[in-house]
Amino acid sequence: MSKNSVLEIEDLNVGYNTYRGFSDVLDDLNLTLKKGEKIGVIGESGCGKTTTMKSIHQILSDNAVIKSGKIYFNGDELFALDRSYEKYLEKGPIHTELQDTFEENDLSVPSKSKLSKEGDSWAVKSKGTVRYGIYQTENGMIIKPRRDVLKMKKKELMSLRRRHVSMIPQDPTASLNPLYKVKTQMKDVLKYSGETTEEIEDYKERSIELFDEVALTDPERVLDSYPFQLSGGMRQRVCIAMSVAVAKDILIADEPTTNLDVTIQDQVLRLIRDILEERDFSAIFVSQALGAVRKFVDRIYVVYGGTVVESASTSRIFTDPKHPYTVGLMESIPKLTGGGFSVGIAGQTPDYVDAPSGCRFHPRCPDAKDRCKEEKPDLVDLGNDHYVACWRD
Amino acid sequence: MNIKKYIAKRAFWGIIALLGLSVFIFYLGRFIPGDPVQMMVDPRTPDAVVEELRKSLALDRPIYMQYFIWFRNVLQGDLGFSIYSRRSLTADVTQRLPFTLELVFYAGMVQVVGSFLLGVFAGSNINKWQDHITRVFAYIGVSIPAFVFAIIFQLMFSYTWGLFPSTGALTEGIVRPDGPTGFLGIDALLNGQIGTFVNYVHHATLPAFALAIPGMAQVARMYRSGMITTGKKEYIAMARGFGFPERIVRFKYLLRPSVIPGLTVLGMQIAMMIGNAFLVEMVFVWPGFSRFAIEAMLESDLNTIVATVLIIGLMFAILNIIVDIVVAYVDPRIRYTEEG
Amino acid sequence: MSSESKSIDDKMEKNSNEKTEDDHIEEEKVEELTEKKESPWKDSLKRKWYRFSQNPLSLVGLSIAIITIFLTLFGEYISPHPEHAFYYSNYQDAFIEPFQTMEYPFGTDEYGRDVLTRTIFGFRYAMTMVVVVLTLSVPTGVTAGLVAGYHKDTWVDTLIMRIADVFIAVPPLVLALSITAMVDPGPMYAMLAVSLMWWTWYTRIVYNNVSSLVNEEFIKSAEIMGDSKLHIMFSEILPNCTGAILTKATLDVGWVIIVGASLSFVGLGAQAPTPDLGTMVANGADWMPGRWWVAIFPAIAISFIILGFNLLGDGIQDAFEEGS
Repeated sequence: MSKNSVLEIEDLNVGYNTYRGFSDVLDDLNLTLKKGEKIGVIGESGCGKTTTMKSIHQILSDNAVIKSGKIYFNGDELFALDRSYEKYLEKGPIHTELQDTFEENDLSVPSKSKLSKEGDSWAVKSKGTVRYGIYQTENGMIIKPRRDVLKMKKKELMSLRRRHVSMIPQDPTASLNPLYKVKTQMKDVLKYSGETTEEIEDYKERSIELFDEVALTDPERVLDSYPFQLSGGMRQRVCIAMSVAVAKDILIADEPTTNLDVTIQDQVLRLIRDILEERDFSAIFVSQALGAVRKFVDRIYVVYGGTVVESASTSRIFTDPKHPYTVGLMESIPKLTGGGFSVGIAGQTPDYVDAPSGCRFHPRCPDAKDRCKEEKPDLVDLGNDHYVACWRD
Repeated sequence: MNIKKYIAKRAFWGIIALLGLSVFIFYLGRFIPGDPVQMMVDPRTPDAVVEELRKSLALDRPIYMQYFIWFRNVLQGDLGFSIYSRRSLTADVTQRLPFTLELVFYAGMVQVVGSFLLGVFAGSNINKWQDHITRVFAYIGVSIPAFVFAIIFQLMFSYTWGLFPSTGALTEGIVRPDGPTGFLGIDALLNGQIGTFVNYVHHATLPAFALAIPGMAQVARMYRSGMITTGKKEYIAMARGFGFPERIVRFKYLLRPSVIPGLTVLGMQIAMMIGNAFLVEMVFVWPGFSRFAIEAMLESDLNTIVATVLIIGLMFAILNIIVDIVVAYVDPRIRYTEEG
Repeated sequence: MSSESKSIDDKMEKNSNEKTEDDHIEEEKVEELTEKKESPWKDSLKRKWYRFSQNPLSLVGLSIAIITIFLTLFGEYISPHPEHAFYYSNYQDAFIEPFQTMEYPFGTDEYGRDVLTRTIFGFRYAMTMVVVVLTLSVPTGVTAGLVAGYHKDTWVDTLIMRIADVFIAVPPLVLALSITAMVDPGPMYAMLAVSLMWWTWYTRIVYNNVSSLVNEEFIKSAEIMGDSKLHIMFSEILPNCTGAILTKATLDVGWVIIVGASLSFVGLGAQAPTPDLGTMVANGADWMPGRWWVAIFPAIAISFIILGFNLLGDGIQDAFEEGS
C-alpha cells in the first residue's frame, strides 16, 4: 500500500464457467500501478491480460466468476494533516479527533470505523470495507480514498467508469455499436463521462476537437458515418478518442493494435504514445510483444498462466531478464543483426480447465525441477524493484 | 443504395414472382379432370348450349390463350366467373375481402404489440420468473395451431363464459354503415356509428387473438433470444465501461440490435396469419374472403382458386416489403450493403 | 542464471548441427501435449451435447420426440382398441365420456370408436407426413441452396432463387390449399403440395450461409488445390450449415404438422374415416361444446408433438450457437 499507487491488484483469482468445466484463468495475480506511471503488461494470448483489465472496471462477461482478490483504486489526495495527528494513528476504533477532521472536510466516516495498519500506511475501514488510506509524508499525512472495486456498489462503480478508468479496446469493430452513427455514440460518451454536472455545450465541436487530436482527417464525415463505413484504423482512432474524451486517472490500452493492419499499427502506437505524453494518465499498456511497449512504458509486468512471473523497470527487463519465460520471449524477438529465424518457446499455452500444478510454466521450462511441479513460486524481490517468481535461485 | 431503389427492386421481383405463380396455378388448374362447363350448368342442358357457353368463356381455346384472356381481364378488374357463387368473382371479392383485411389488421396489431411487450419483458429479466413464465407461454402459443386456439377460445370465452359472441361479424339488427370505403370498421367510424364499431370489434376479438397468438409467441421468443445474443457482444460491455447508465445501455444500445431477427420473423408470422385466416374464419363464421375461398375450393371452383392465390400473394408481397422497409430502417447495414 | 540464457547465435549453431538431447526432450514434450487433444469432431459433439443438456427444456423436448417416434412406430401394438381406428361403429358405445372407464379412457366418438386409440394412430399419420415432406424438401432445398450460393451472381443463382421466390410468394398454407383443392383431396397430394414449396425455406437458409462463406480463405484454397465444385460444396461448405439446417428441420416437424392438420381440418387432407389428427379435430368441432373430448384430445396430441419438437429444435439451436 504505497502512497503513490493509484491501482493495486492483490491476489486476484478469476475464472470462467465453460462447457468443459471451470476455466481457472487468473491465479493470484498481483500488479501495482503508480500515479503517473506507465506500465506494460506482456503475455501471450489467453494468459489472462484482458480478463484482468476487464476486472478493473468490472465489465467481465456473465459467465465470469471472481473467486477472490482485491482491486484497490486509490484516488487523488483529499486533504492533508500535519504531524500532530500522528498520535491518533493506532489500530482500532478511529479516534474522534480524526473523525472530526474527516467531517470537517466533508467526508463521511461512520462512527464505528476502524484503523488498521497496512505496510507502512493506514487504512480506514468501516463495515469491513476500506474507505480511505492514510499515508505518511515528510510533512505529515495525506488522506486518499481507497476502495476495493470488487466490493463497489452500482453507483460507485459507475463513478469509477465515468471518471477514473477508461479503456481502449482490442477490437474496435466489435466495440462500436453497428447500428448507430459515430456522432450518436460520441455524444453519449461525452454526455456520460466525467463530471455529470459538467455540461458540454456542443458535443459536435468537442468531438471534432478530439478527432483532430487522434489524427482523423475529415472529422465531420466520420461523425456522420456508421462504424462499418470506416476502416479499421479509423475505428480504433474513434475508440481512442472516446477513451481520452475526459480526463481520467487510469487509461488501459488493451492490445490496441492487434486487430489492425501492420502498416497502421505503428501509426496508432505512436498516436497513443503522444496522447500518453500529453495527458496526465497513469496507463496500462497490454500487449503480446515486448518490443511494442518498450518505448512507452516505465515498467513491465510479464504474465504467464494467469499470474505475474516477473516485473521490473523496462530497462532491467531487457538487459537482465530472469524468469525463463521472459528469457524465452526476449530470444523470440527477431534481431536485425542477423542470426536467422527466432526459435520461439516450446510447448503450448496452458489449458486453464486442467492447469499445470505448481508453477504453471513448468511444462515448457527448460530448467524445470521437481519443486516447480509441486509448489507455485512467490514473487521474490531481487532488489532494484525487480521481482521474479521462480524457484531457480 | 437508398431506400427507394431498394423498395423498387423488391417490388419488381415480387411482381415477377407473382406472375410466375399465377401461371403455375393456372396451368395446374387446367389439368384437373372434369369439365368445368358441365359442372356449371344443369345436366339436362342441350349440348349446343353448352358449347355456346364454352365458347363465350373461351374455354375452347388453347391454354396459353386462356391465360392471356384471363390476365387481360384481371387487369381490367374482372376476375372471372365463380362457379360456386354463380356470379362475378370481383363482386364476391369486393364484398368479402374487406372483412378479412380488417380482421388480419386487428390481429396484426395485437401481434406486433404483444410480441414486443412479451419479448422485451422476458429478455430484460433473463432467467428470473418473468422470463420463465413468458417462455412457457411462448412455447404453448407456438405449439398450438391457430385453429385449435380458435376452437378453444370459442369453447371457453364464448360458449362457457359468454364473454364474446361466437360467430359472425355483427349482431343481428345493428345498424350497418353505408360507408364510403366498403370497410365496415372504417365506415362505422367515419359515420360516427360508435356502437356499431364497438360491436364489430367485440365480434372480431376472439378470431383476431386466435390468429395472433401463435405468431406472437414465436416473435417474442426471437426478441428474447436476440437480446441474449446481443447482451454478450463486446460493444455492450464497452458501453457499460464508459459509464452509461443501465437504462441507456439496455434501451438504446441493446434493444435495437436485438429486435432485428425478431422483425424478420414478424413478417413471416403475419404472412402465416393470412394463411390461418382461412381456418379461423371458418370456425367463427366470419364473413371474410378466406372462408368464401375455402368453400369455393372445396367445389373446385378454378377461378376462385387462381384469384385467391393472386390476391393473397399480393397482400403477402406488400407485407414483406413493408417489413423489409422497417428492418432496413432499424439496421443501416442492410441499406448500405445492398449495392447493386 | 545468466549462463542459462543463450544468445540467438548459439541457438542457431545448435540448430544447424545434429539434434542434441535438449531437442529430443522438447520434441517429446510437444508430442505429449498434442496427443492429449481429442479429435475435433468428438470434441465438437461433446461441446454441443453439453450446451444442449444445460437446458432442461431441451431434454423434455427430446423425450417428447422420442415418445412420439415410439408411438408412431409401435402405436398399433399398444393401443387398446386397434380395430376402432378406421371403420367401426358401435352406436351403443357412442359418446362415452372420458375418464369414466378404463376401457375408454379418452371417451368415444359418435361412432363409438375409442378416442385414445384413434389419437395414437393419429400420431402415425402426422409423422408420416412429416417424414415424406422433409425427405423430399430438405435434400432438394439444401442442394439448390448450395448450388445457388456457390454460383452467386450468375444466371444459376438468379434462376434458382427466382423459382424459389415463386413458391414463397404466398403463405405455405394457402399454396397447399390451392393445389390440394385442384387435384383430388387426399393425404398424398397434400404431402406433395406441401413439399412443393417447403424446399424453398432450406434454399434460403443455405444460400445465405453459403454466400457469406464463398469468399473465405478455406474455400479459395480448396479451389486452388483443384477440388471439384461438387466436393467443395458438400464437404467444405455444407458442414458449416448443419446447425441451421438441423434446427430448421426439427422446428419444421411442428410446422408441417400444423399445415397438415390445417389441411385436414378444412377437409382437404386425409379423409374420414382415416384417423388423422386434423380430421378428428374438425370432426369433433361439430360436437362442441357438449362433447368436447372428441376434438380436444386430438388437439392436445397435436400440440404435444409440436411442443416437443419445438423444444428440441430450440435446444439444438442453442447447442450449435457459438460464442461465449
